[in-house]
Amino acid sequence: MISLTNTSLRYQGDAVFSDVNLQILAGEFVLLMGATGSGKSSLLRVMNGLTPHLTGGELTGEVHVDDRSIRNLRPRDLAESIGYIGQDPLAGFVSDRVEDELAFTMESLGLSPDVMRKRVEETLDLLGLNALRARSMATLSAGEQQRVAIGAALTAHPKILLLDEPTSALDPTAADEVLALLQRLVHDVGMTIVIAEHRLERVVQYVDRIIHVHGDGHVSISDPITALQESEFVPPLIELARRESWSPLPLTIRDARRLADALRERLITASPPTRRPNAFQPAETFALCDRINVSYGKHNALRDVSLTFSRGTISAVMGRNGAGKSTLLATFVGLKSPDKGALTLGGHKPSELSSHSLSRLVGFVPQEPGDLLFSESVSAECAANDKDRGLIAGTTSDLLNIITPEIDHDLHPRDLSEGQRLALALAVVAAAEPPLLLLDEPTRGLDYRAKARLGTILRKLANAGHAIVLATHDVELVAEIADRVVVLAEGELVADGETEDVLTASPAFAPQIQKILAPSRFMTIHDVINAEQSQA
Amino acid sequence: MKSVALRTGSRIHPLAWWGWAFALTFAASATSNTWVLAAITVGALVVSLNCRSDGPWRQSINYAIYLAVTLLVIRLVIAMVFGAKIPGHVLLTLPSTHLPQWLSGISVGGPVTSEKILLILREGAKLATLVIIFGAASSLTQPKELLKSLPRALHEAGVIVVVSTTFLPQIVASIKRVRTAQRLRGSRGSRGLSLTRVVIPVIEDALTKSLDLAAAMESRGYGQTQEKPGRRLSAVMLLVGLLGIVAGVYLLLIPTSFINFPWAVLAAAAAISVIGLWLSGKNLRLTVYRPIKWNLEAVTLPLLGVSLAAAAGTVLHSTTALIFILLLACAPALYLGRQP
Repeated sequence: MISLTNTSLRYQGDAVFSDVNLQILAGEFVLLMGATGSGKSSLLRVMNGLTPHLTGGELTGEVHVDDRSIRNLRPRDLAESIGYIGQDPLAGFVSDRVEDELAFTMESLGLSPDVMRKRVEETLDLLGLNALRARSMATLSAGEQQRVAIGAALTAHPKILLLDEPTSALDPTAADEVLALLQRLVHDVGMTIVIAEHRLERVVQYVDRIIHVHGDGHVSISDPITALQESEFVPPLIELARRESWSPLPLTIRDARRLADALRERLITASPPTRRPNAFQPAETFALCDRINVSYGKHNALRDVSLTFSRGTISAVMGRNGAGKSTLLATFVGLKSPDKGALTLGGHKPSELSSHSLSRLVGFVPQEPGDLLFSESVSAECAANDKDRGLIAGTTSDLLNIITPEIDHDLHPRDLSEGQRLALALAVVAAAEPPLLLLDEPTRGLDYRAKARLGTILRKLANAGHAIVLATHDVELVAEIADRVVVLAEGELVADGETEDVLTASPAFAPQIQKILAPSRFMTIHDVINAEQSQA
Repeated sequence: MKSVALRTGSRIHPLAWWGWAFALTFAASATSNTWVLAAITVGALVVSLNCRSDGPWRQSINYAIYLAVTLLVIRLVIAMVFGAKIPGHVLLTLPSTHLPQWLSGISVGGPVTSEKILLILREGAKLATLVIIFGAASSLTQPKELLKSLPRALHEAGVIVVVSTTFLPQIVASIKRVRTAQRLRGSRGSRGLSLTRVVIPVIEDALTKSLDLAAAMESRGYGQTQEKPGRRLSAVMLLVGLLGIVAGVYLLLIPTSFINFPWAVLAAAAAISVIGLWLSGKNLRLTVYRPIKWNLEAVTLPLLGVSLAAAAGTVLHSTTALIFILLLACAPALYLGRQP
């Protein structure tokens, strides 16, 4: 269906990948994996011509799609055979109503009105979107937006779908829905699907083959087991399986559970993992809110929420998209004031503080770290921050060196990798040493290595006495680093407790290792390693 | 597949509403009878409040009412203070000053008579009526649906409008996001955030978003063309037609001796432009999803408007005639019934 022959891509002389040879067969579900910035998205976009037509760069070799060479075709000429869904579906929407959005591609292709109407109805049914047909795009949740974007591509009846990180913004349940939908398209409709994704734990069980973009220009394609055997980026399930040398490599929790009997047996006598003790010590409490209500107009975003955040603790706020996580963070940084209830930071009310003194109490790293950054280089950014906050010159860049020593201080912040940009934003915010540090969805677009590094950084900051709060969907990261988990639903607090207690209690939030080793309460590979070492 | 499935419910073709509104405008500008104007205003209000669309534009009638009332009040105040004196029943007397000799034409203050107020209201009524008619027409149609019924060659302009109406709120949201993020960075000393700190991240964000949008539109086949031979011809026709229109207008305004048929020139040029537009539209592979059809209701609307204009222009202005005009003005609301 898609074939690349000796394909190479260069940007201004730098090879992104070279001499790629691969064939994707009709009806295959293929995953593109690789580190952040390795060229996954570029390779995906080569398949429908967006690279080089839209992005520039020099493409050599042959690309065939559906037995046609696309050398002289523009992406728009391929619209009938390939659907492409970018990373941010909202940015790709053209209309303001779901139904019109579904029809847009067909209007461009010049289909007759009755065919269009029929296909729109079919697609609404296939994707379960009928209830949303007259809704405005801005009112959809992230999962609904992703499904509408898929629907909008499907109405043209393409043979191939390309998706760039379709689940990165979604909570675990919405992500499962989208992946189940893709799975159904492959099985029932015979669609060929290629997706680029970082969250391998969510997708490896569904895919037929994996394209591994190594980042050094080398690209390989193989079956999932071979690819994951060799890869340096693997989900916790595979990491555990490789450590235990289970064979064949299990790709699903079910397979792993069958192979895990021996391990469970061994761990039965092991002492359960010890957690950081100070999560709920009242003496360390820095921020607290007592039965706060926050609303946007008539919509109650938070209802009777009472929480405390202590120094030295990493807390994770979880919940569906739209459950009130961002509102909770916004309230703690003083952007929203509660209609009812009290909120204090180290004894002060945020609404009564000037923005300068507030920024000494609380630091906020937004979902887009780029929102904070405006200078032309990393070093200028650090210097500006020292000056702004009245810090001793060099404070920010010293902190940045502790966080990520290898960062190049002459680069423009936009040229950094996602992980480095996040580290820079974190350094800028943390340099003033605010006791409370809030991070909104910090792992979007980060690969496993960058995530592990983020975990280390946050632990360092927590040990230095910060109270850290992150709003996230990333179950594995939470299992790895959080001491305590808060779950919100519909603006209400539904769970608040130690990470193990909260995560193990819920099937949607349980991390992979815990699912494999249930009923014992090991959540991460490090828990298992520690337990075995203490046994030995 | 039968086209019955394409019935679009009770949606009325937007051009039908604008045709109706145009006829009302004509009737309002042609008459000088305040009662007829009042009847037309009431009709426009009744129809708008009963049949307006459910989009954000439904509010435009409210704004039109505010605007009309404000215009009347402003006129009233200015005329009461500065206007010429009209003899009659004095309602109140404003303090007046004597202006120097060279401004003797203008008087300030003085007695305000009820005759004067009536005259001003009567003069202002026409403008207010026109504003209300325009507001009613906008509340009855959605601009997007109007764009849908444009000729295909103008489709791109329509897409630009639609994209910008969805894109602009995103930029506004992005500005808000960046401002709060920067504020939380705690800029010291500077009370207002320096412009570059907000503008640079916003522009970067907007550029990224527009590239995403371009990629999405490109991969969804936007701008696919069919290469047909008529392409150059349509361009030439459009050019000739537009130049002809300019020339026709010129001839109309400044009569010359050797070409004394400006209307013919204008008509011919318009015809050439329309054909050119139609031809260039044929090169695009565009179709419209759920097009709005001209149904019986839609055809009736402009006819109702035209009969109103005719009635307002010809009928003697007795009470019965006024009631007839009022009924005719409200007719679309009675005829179409209340829309959801």
